[in-house]
Amino acid sequence: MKFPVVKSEKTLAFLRRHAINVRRLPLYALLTAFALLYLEPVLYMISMSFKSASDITDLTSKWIPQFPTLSNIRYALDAMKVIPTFTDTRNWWEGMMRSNLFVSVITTFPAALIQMFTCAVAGYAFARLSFPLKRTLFVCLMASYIIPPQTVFMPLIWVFRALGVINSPLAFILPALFGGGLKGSLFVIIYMQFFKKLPAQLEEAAILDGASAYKVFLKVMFPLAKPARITVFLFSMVWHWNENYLTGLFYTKIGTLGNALASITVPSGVYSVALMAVKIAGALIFVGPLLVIYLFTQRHFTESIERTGIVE
Amino acid sequence: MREVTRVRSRLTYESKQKLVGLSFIAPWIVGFLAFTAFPLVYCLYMALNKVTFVTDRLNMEWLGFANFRKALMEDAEIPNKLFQTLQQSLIIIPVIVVFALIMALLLNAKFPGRGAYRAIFFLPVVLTSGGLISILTSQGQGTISFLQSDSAKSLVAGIGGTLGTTLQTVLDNFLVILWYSGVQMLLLIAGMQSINPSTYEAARIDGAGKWEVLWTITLPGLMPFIFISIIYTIVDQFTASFNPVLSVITFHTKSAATGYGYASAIAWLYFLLTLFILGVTALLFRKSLGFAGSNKRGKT
Repeated sequence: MKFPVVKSEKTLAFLRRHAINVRRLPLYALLTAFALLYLEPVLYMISMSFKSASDITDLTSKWIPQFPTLSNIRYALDAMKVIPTFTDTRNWWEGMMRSNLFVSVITTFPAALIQMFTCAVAGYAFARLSFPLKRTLFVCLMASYIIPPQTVFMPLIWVFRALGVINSPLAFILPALFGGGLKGSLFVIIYMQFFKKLPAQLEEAAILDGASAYKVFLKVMFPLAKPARITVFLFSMVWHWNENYLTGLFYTKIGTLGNALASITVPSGVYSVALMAVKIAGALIFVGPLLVIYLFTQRHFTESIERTGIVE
Repeated sequence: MREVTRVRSRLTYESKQKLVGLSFIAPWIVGFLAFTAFPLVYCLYMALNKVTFVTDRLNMEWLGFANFRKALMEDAEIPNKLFQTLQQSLIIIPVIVVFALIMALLLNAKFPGRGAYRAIFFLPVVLTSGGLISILTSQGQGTISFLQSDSAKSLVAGIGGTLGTTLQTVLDNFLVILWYSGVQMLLLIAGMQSINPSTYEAARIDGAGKWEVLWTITLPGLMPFIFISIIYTIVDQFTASFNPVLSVITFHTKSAATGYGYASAIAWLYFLLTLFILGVTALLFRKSLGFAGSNKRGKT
């Protein structure tokens, strides 16, 4: 048996490059298969949202609707109370709060921005400062991360009722002000890990220059924590937006988009198929803002944890 | 004399530092006491009482451990649901972490188009919400058609026994596995990046194959990250809205016959179960983490 003889360096290099590509084919095939699994629900959601009744029953048009319609979206916008309604022109705020989209926005963004700062303060203290009972409080931090909200929600509702923040975004903003709130302890841990990694010389230099601990934090450490800040803000935003359980408990008179979506019921019967399309259009409206934000910030998501060094 | 003043000034410096530290952590302590510690302790207190509403006021009637005894001994539903949760998590959690690990290994390799693949694979981080997933599952999305086909099912059924049922659970919950592993993938890729490249270099020079490198360098180096992924998965799964115990708690909260006290007892049992699983995980990882811990202490 004779092996083919390689004639020149050039063909050798070509073959080598080719061989590597061929070896990568299974990797690409596997990744593409899984990528399609992830993309299919998203594409399905988009396609279904624009399908008219005849498209839904027509089995030949699986992905691209032949008679695209906006009526699903329009019904969903209506059913989920996305647009604010002003019956009383004097009370602007109440009119806005009738819009579930506005409630979602006003719950998500202030809480996420506040957590981005307050969790950094607590995380910095755990990473760099000494204070009494530090070990005990660290155990408390870990415990508050693992306590299921189902265990504490009842007394928590009473605390919030006593403070008068039920049916107000303050139910999420107030705990966030104290470095807690939705997944607050996880964010404190993220900041703590980040600050632990920074070299001590940074603070020492600032203190030698006569800066107080507060100034060191505000002017040196917090600005340096940009990767951690982005991570915390993005995750806090996503998790607040997707939160259904706690918003369902704290908001009885107002509602978020997520709760409105969950309350669209599809009865079984003649209209169930058409109504399902409305519900899926609602789901698209619900995840739409997040998808758009993700398109622009996905680099931060995919690199965020790498840069913060969340663990270690 | 001079000695004494020096000692005293150092002490005041230290206590001054502690005061500064305290001023940083004080808001967090207030928040923890008001929004975590108080509700948790109050929940325990309610669990030991029969709680009834008398014209918008709470009426407590001391019961001792009767609520707990009732939940565990008399109410067949509770141990059943708790056991079901435990059983399901024993299957789902390792599968999620192993899946995330395999995907992280693939996505950590350098190849053209990696960024695009990563963007798609981390979509779940943004989109995972209970409501959305239930809508998509009801539409048959996310189940893989060939896994749901009759031949695949009969193949799985043919295996039988525990392995068969385990496989069946995994197949039925494939969507959950796929969509709840996004953050873990991020964590594990971060972990792979943290392993010193010179270690790989040294292994290659010593003539280690790719497989050996995976088992002797990558996986041991990843242990702390695998541990954190498991902890994250446990907490994520136990606080997920589709959890069967959650609906039981909500039911008893609204029920007049049992009420808040009984619901609190179940909630506490549930918390203890979570703690138990986390504790067992920590014990299992004690060896590999102890090694990582001593490493860290050496560094600082």
